[in-house]
Amino acid sequence: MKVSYHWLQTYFDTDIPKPADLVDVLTMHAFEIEDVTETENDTLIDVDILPNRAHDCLSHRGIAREIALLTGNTLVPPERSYTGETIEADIAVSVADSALCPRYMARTLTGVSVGASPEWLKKTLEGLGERSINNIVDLTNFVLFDTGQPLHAFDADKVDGNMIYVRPAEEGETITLLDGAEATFQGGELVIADEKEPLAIAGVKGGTKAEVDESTTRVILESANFDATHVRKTARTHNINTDASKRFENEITPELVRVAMEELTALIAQLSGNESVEVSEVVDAYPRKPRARRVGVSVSETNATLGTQLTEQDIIDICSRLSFAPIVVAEPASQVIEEAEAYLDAPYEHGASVTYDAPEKFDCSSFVAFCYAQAGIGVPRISVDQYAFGEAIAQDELAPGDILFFNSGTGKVHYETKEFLPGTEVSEGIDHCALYAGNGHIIHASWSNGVVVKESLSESDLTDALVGCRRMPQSAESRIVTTIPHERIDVRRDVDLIEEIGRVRGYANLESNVPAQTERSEIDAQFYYAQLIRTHLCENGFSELYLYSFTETGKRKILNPLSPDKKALRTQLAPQVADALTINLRNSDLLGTDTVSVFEIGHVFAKEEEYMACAIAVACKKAAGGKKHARTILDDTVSHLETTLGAKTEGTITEHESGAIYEFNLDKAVENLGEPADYDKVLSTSEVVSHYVTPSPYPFVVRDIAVWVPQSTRVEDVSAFIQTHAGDLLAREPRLFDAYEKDEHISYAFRLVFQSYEKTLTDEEVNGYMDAVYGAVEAQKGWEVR
Amino acid sequence: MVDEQGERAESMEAGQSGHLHPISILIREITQIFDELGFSVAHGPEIESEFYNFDALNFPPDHPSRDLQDTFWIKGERGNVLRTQTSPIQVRYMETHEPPFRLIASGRTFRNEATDATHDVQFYQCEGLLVDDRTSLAELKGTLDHFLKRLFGDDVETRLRPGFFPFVEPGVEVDMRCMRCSSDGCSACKQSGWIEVLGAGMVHPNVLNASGVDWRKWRGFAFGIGLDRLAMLRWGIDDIRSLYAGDLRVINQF
Repeated sequence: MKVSYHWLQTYFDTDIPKPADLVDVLTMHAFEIEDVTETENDTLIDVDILPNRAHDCLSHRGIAREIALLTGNTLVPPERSYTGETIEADIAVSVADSALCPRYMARTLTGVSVGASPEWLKKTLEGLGERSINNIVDLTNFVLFDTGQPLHAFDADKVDGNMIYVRPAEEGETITLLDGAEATFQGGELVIADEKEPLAIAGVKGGTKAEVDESTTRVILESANFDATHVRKTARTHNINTDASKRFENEITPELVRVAMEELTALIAQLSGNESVEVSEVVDAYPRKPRARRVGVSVSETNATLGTQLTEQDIIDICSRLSFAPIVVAEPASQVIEEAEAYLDAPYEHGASVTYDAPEKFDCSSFVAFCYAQAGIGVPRISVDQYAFGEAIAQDELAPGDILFFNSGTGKVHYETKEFLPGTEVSEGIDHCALYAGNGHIIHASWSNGVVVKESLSESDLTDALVGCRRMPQSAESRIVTTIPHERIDVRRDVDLIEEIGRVRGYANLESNVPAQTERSEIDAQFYYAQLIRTHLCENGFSELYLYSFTETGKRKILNPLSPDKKALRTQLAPQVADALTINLRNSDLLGTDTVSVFEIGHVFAKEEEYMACAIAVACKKAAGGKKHARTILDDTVSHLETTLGAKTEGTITEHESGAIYEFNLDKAVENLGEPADYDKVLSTSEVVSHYVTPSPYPFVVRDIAVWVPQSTRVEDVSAFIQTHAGDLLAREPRLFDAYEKDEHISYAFRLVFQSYEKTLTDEEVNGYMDAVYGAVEAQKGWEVR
Repeated sequence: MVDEQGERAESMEAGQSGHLHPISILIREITQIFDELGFSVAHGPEIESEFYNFDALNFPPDHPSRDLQDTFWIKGERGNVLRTQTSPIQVRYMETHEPPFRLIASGRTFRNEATDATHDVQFYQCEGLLVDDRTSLAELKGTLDHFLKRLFGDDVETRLRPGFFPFVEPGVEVDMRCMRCSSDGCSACKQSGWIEVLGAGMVHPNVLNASGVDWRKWRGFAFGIGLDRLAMLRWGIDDIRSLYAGDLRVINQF
């Protein structure tokens, strides 16, 4: 997300660090910075916000909070809430399913004047790459980029009736969107509608029916929260991605709704500039308000995870800077019971949610999970998981805070875990749990009593149903317990909090410890033999290719291929290796060989089956004996390889016009081979290149030259001489391809290859280089061009 | 005469060795370094189930974190994908082994994204995992420092900064001082002087949980490294696609 440096500065009375320093701080403690652009009077910083922080940081407010946290500048948010008078609400809202729309807030503003945006607003939005539309629409966008809350404005006079419906679309319903596109609903997509038809695709895009334009005088403002997964599916179905859908997809807190609504109201009222704007009260459909999450850590687990020596005070300080309101819970187990006592008589409801329903109502395990969460200890949600999660203790070891588990036969009895190490068998069967309160008493959300009760275990109906007692991990050690601000949806549990502590402190001064050495526990035979084959083939002059897994046809196909020639997976290596033979033969002069010897080891995909294959290939130019000779080399190579491996391989031969390819199933071959002892012989590398040279995209030109020299002249000297005089465009050292002796003289024939990195060479140019060589050779005493 | 020429030419080339692919060179060097630290080599299939590639790695279904990895799906095989990362190998290993353990795994991975000089539909990753009862982020840092020094030399300078990968928490990215420009700023390091080489972190308890490892007792760290990018950086290869072109003008330089 692009943020404006000046905009960020409006959140502070003090000067925030200069852009370059800000980038450093953010990089080392929070986000990767994609780009920094200087504009005429601002600096735009493109911050890479990943899904873990897309809940709270796809906004200037979010980034400003990070700056406050990391630089120590005090956040002084601009006061933008509407404080003027309001009239009674003149619209109503109907939300069909609060799971898909946890909150919907609306209000009307009457007497607004729609027109061009003021310069500051235009510039601000254009700086972020947004097009200015009109003052109302621009302000909804401004507040979106400011707070991260998507907003919408409808022309109230174009809405039929006084009721806003948030409902699933009917199959076949249509909407004309603001960009003019038509969308037809599959049915089920959440829409915002009036009594007649959809006005917008909820959380995704608005429609034209109630579009705000120059004639608008009365608007309905929407600030709402929609379910992340639902918005994501709808956006995908209709292939529409907007700033709004991006934020909803990533889940934002419904608590943001009011902040944004008040800011938008204030800005519109202010901009319309006249006292005549009438602002209605909000209607706020918000049936289930989430409870602020509690997350705790101990000093020891924080240090153990990070490898630090932080003190309790260090951790408290960081959590305070994060606005996580840390408190110390010295005895978590007692705290659990203290919490439990506070909610006696709270009603029982099966399946009550810890996040939304506690502490108003509970079921047995949500009560336990809630009380533990209040003490800063995360435990599984379901009783059977709690049972498996805790440490077994005897009944006479029970201490306050421990949990008793029952198979009472009154509820659904679980015999295996659901979420904690899923599928772990619990043969005792669990259907109920209770907290041990001390003195033989238990506290539990009781189905039979309909409320949370405290009672004597021995006098309870449950006594005979007791299956076992458990002590929760971490309940004995002092914890730092934080209350997570609503927008930090990413901080859910201990490790999330530990990460926050680690990154705020910074990883720069983290110690660097290499773990103690141990012996490897096993040898991977496939890896070993693949390496052994590589070594063997390289030693015998074969070079290794890595080719594409994708082909045009194959047994297993790609559902969403990138291009038509890559719509399947290779069933064998040979066809592509054959192509590589052809290509490399064409370059043989440049490569300085008439024989191309290559291999590939890679996965192939036969029907249902995937295995590691090995293909070995040889092709020879006619000059080197052609196809027949290539086959001889290949057969020799395979037979040598089999000697090295110590077993035969079962492969197939694929013909090539100048050679052949042998391919075998390496996984199958390995099955018949011995267990290797170590990798010592197969991991060596002999690196020759220090810096790679990209092959020239231009064609090369070949010239041959034969030189008569006295027999005593060394061939290396002749070659070097020619190389010196052939110029810079000689692509490789001259290659000797013939020697011929006569009358105390010897004729050496060399092949020269010329190539430019800048252009296609012409015959004349190459003739010129050859003339230089001829001239130089002739000038040598006793040398003669043949 | 033709045959004679041929034989001469062949005899002149006899004894010339072939060339390992640059990715193979890296895999060998990396495996050597980690083998010495007691990491066992592991491998896994390239067609993976959604469970191993995403679910078990703490990518929730229908979650934007899945958008970070454009995925190829296999036709007619519901839930099967070309692995987008080598991390599924971690899960498979954990399911079948008792901690403590250390593993190193390299392999081909796939992403459905438009290709250019720095992106291709296939590339290689190397993955490391250590699980025991006492490891820490500081040990991860030490391990990666050791690794990068062995690979690039003692004067390599690295830094850790926060990163996000669903399967680790805390998550970090590891940067190396840019070797091309000695940190003056160049196109390779986007003018920052640093080049991102590794993603890493402490294994998320959800991943251990899904893999059947009791996260009350065991902790782990994991790291992943893009081998193509590493090869390109190390040798100055300017186009990732040249690694898969089957072109000996490229391979024979190594």
